[in-house]
Amino acid sequence: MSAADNIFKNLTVLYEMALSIGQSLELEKNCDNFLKILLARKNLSYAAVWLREDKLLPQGHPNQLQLSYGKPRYFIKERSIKECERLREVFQNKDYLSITEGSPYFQDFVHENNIKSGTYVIFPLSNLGYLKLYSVQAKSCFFDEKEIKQLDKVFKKFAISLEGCISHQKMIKEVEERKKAEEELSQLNETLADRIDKEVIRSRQKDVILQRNARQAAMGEIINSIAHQWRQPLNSISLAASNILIDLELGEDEEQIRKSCDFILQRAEDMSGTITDFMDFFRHDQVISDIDIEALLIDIGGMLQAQLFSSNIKLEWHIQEGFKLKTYKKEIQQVLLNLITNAIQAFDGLSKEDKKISLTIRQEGSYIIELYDNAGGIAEDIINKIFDPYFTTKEKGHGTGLGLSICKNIIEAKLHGEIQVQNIDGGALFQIILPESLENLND
Amino acid sequence: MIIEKATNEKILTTVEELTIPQGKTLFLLLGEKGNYDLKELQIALKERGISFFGALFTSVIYGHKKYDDGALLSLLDLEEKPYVIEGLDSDEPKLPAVFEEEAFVEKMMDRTALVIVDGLSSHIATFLSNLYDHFGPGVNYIGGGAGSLTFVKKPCLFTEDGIYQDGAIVAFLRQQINLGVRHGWKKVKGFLVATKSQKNIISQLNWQDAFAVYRKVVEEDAGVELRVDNFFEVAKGYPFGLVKENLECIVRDPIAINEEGHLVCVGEVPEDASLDILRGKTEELIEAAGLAAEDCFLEKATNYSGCLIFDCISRVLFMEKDFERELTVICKRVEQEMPHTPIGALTLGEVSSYGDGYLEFFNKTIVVGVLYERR
Ligand SMILES: Nc1ncnc2c1ncn2[C@@H]1O[C@H](COP(=O)(O)OP(=O)(O)O)[C@@H](O)[C@H]1O
Ligand SMILES: [Mg+2]
Repeated sequence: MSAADNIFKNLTVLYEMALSIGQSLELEKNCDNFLKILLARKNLSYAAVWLREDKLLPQGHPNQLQLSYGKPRYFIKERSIKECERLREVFQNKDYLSITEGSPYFQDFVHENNIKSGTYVIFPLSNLGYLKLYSVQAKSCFFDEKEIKQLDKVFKKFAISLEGCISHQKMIKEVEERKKAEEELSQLNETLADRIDKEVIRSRQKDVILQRNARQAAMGEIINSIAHQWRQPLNSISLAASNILIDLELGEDEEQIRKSCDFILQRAEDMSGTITDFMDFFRHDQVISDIDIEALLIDIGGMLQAQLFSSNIKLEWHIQEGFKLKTYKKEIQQVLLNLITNAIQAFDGLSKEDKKISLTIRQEGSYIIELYDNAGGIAEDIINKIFDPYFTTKEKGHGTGLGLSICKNIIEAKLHGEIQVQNIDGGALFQIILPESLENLND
Repeated sequence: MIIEKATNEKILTTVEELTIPQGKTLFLLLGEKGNYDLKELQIALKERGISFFGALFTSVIYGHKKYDDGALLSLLDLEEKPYVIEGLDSDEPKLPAVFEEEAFVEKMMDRTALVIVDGLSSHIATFLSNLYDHFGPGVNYIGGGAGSLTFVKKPCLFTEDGIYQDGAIVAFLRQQINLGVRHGWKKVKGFLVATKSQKNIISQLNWQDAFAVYRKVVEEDAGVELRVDNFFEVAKGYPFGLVKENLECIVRDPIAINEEGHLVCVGEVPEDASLDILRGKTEELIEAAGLAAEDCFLEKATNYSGCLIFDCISRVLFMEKDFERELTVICKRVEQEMPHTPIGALTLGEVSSYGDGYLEFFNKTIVVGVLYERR
């Protein structure tokens, strides 16, 4: 091919690319029109546009990069990364950065799936962010100097078109917001109460989501308890079953075998009882009743027996005989189960004698329930956060951070009470205050 | 196995006699000159409880021969049942939901995607681009366009679940594949830009009437007058090449002039794309076929388990009686490495990727793939 031919070929390819830029004001479409052609003509494997968050969102962070476009999606893994500080510096005296698998920094640039080798070439998109190109080939740079010079101009144009897209997006948002404001204004005839209702519904929806997660979390905790509860009877069942086999082989008398069978049946019944007990927790109560707290604690103690026993923890209570609490049973049950489970878990890895969890109830107008454990208490720097959803100090898989937040939610929203915590005497004290009467408070 | 002068009955009798091992899927390639009723065939095969899929092609390839009326039966190891994608006549063909799943994509990694499309559908490029979006260079692609040389649309794809038109079948083979993609067409004239085009129709080249520009180049080179009535006959020797840097260009085949006097191609020509007009010489095309086979063995593998060929029907129309020499060249090269007889089809467009790059729909091209067992 002659030199003129070559130049013409380069020009026509650039012409095509240049014309594919800015054909759409939608950010994604604009990227797609251009980068698909770049990928096809240059036979590259992946192209991505990372933009600074503050360019896209009003409260965005300037050092956080967002993936605005990535093709093919096969490679996409991370969508938001912190901008490497050195990168900005690099581009102050360089138009592009090429980094190949051999480089010690290569791994730092891999934010994609399925990339272990090959080459990245990164171009700045003015001050908006970066264009990241990737080829499976391990060449130090898959563009030669001449191509870079050609492409540099194209990319500059691309960056300008992206700015257009972004401001277009912002404008659309503004128009939408203005429209919404106008609508709202015209709806001002609607009573204020109406709007408050809507706000309430909206925040309820949030609660519903939170509660759904909480339910799952609680379920997880409970399944855990069931597992603990079952381990022992399962062992004895399998032991009894193998005894039966031996008896049969030795031709032992029927009586012996029948005994073993009875034993198995009894254990199985206990086990199914566990499930019924636990399942009970997943219903909500619609009616207020007089609750025998002592009986309820005996139930909970039974359910958590395996865990209490294996960690050698004593669960005790000080309640006046015949004391009744007027409230929703399932709700208070779930709260206590959560708190006691937390207390049990707080003893994890702690070796001391006289581990205990104790509960008292008294009435001073309102009811005051106090749950105390001597498991060391809660570090002062997190004590304000423990009721926040998703706050947990436990390892992944052990805590969801939802237990206390759901307790607080139940107590405040449904039981119209309060919950507080403090450290006392080498342990944590949770205090629940419930109104004397719930009647007229819930509809 | 090849059945000549194929009919439904012959295929079914052969299938009866065949013992299909557990886990294998029957892949049926039908040459369009055979005598079939596709729907009945599909139902009858389904009744026999076999796993199968297939397509109707302009012709099928078995070894160094093509069989216009032949039915080719082959057994494949599939990772999953073949997937059918419908709606390739609309601009958003919908891919199966599992393709979105990371675990699925992971599972198919390094496998071979056999992609058979209805070659007369209007949105093949969009479909391939979507497919590539999901699997990227994680899998290797091979396949081509099914359908009739009469260019009349009809159902040409089938699986256990039915027969399809304007669709595609994607079957993931357990094996890995090495690919060779070549065409051998050379530039006679460059300096062209498709300044106005839509999908597969070019209306302007270099801001002038596309047909006028094209005719001038072709008439000068071929020394014959190019008219609407002899267009196909002459134009088959002068396709367009879509410039791809540092690689062989992608061929686009002009096949007709429409009522407005615009050039109708097989496959899309993006607006503003840079084009060459190409010319073919039989010897050069055959040489390219040899190179395609050669490319498959650039990286040697062990445990070869088969060879697939998807070759453009337009190469047959161009080379005519010399065409089978092209297959012979490939067979000779393949024979040196493995005992398997190459199988395949003559297609309306070919599907593959150049190595690790973008998945493309080719014309006038030959795609050779050698399958080998994963280690
Ligand atoms: N009795 C307790 N003693 C010490 N720390 C506690 C106690 N109860 C709760 N916490 C702390 O509060 C955090 C949040 O509790 P919770 O909301 O139940 O989530 P989770 O138990 O799933 O971590 C726990 O991770 C733990 O650090
Ligand atoms: Mg908890």
